Amino acid sequence: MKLVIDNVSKSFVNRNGQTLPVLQDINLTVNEEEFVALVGPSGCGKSTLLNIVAGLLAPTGGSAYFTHLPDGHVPRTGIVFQETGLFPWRSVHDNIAFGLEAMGVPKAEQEERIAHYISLVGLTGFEKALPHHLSGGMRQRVGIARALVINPDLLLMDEPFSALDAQTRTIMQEELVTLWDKTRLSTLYVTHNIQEAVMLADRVVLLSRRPGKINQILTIAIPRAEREQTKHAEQIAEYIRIIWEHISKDARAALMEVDGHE
Amino acid sequence: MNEFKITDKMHSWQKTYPAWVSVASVIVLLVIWELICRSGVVSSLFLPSPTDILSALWLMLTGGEISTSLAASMYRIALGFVLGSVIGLAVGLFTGTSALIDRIGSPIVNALYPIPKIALLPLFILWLGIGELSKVTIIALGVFFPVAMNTYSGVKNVDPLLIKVAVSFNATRWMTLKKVVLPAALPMIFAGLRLAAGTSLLLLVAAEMIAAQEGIGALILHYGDLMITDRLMAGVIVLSLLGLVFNLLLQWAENRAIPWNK
Repeated sequence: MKLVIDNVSKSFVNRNGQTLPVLQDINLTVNEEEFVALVGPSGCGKSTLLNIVAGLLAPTGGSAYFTHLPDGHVPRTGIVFQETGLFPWRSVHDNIAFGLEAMGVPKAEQEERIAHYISLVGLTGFEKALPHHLSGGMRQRVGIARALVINPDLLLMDEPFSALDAQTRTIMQEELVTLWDKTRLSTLYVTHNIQEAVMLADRVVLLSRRPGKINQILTIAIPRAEREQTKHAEQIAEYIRIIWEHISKDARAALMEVDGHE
Repeated sequence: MNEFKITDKMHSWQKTYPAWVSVASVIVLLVIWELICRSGVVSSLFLPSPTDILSALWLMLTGGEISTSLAASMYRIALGFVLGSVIGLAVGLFTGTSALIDRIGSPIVNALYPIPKIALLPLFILWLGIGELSKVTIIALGVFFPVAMNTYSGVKNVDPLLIKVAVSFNATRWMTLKKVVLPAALPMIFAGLRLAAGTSLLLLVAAEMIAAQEGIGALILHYGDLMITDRLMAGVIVLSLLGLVFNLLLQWAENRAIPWNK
């Protein structure tokens, strides 16, 4: 299975009737068992691209599609949203069940799969809790379990940890590395956090801003599980420096933008 | 030595008083009322004393007068309320979620909404006869509008993220409507039901005063004509209790239906 983003462009028309290009000529492939991070300053259209891949937004030009699928297989996409998007009226268990209900999975199988992912993300004992009783980190674990339980072919994550505090964020990153090694799902991960991208991804795609274009693609050549180790610290820092060099000008421009929004 | 003592600047905002203060204020008010009546400043014909009203209420209760009137009134209001709110809910839900039905239905609803519903009673009596049906219809109509309006705006204001989540899991339109849009709109729907409760009580009394043999409204009008004010006031108290119970029931239903809305 491969995800192909083929010459995708997107522009919006604003209130004054002007056309604002947000994405321009994006060409990118996400391979089987590959973790790709999209990095860029605000306003580079990275969330827009993710929404297009998720099928929640139509591109103005080009297309995104899956290839190399087994015969007759309809690909599924699991999405972890930035603000979690948990249904406040559903318990942890029922939130995770939502995708399975939509697929019409039999009740008994649902229970089995839900139990598996609840224990995988470490939420055992919280099945009946409502989202507003959980901490931010736990809520996002529910979001991750909800996306994984449908056995997606592609996992999309839209700044999933940006609402968390720095410490929780570090812990969640480490947990995601462990979790990812168990599932090895093709993943497209949007973030503005460079360090996060370098710790998690096989390849880091840098987007420039307004209109968003692919500026550079960096392959992180350190095994994911070893990136915490001190012997790689220097190399990690070098990756971070290179990325920052590429996007700092754009990031500064984004900062000065008055009505900047993504 | 220069010192600065840190004090709680939130104190005046967070002050609390015990619940008996509320009880005491009601008792004080009743005692003042009683004293004014006993002193003979005001004729008991115009303002009967609380004890007079209570003894009149007791006589009417034991005489069976209250129970027949109350039964007639409750039948009308319950039937009208259920009918009006079920239809209002359905209309609000479908106008809020279907662009076509919105275009067709909204101007009609908006044109009929400002009509004081009681003005239509003569017409309904003409169409439906002087019996129960015209009264139930006028109450249902009065309930329909606030429920439909609130459901409509509740549905319109559902967090788009939650709909995106449902769509991303390939939930069908019906499943999204039933499991996402409806629960998300419930707080607004209940606000509509509470508005409608007030309206329905108003229309009940008005309709009963215009044309009814039995019912609390007819009872109050009857004793007004005879200038028996203590019995008139007893009827008013029954109405107030009816409204109070109605509100409590709705409050209870709301707490059961939306436990996540804290």
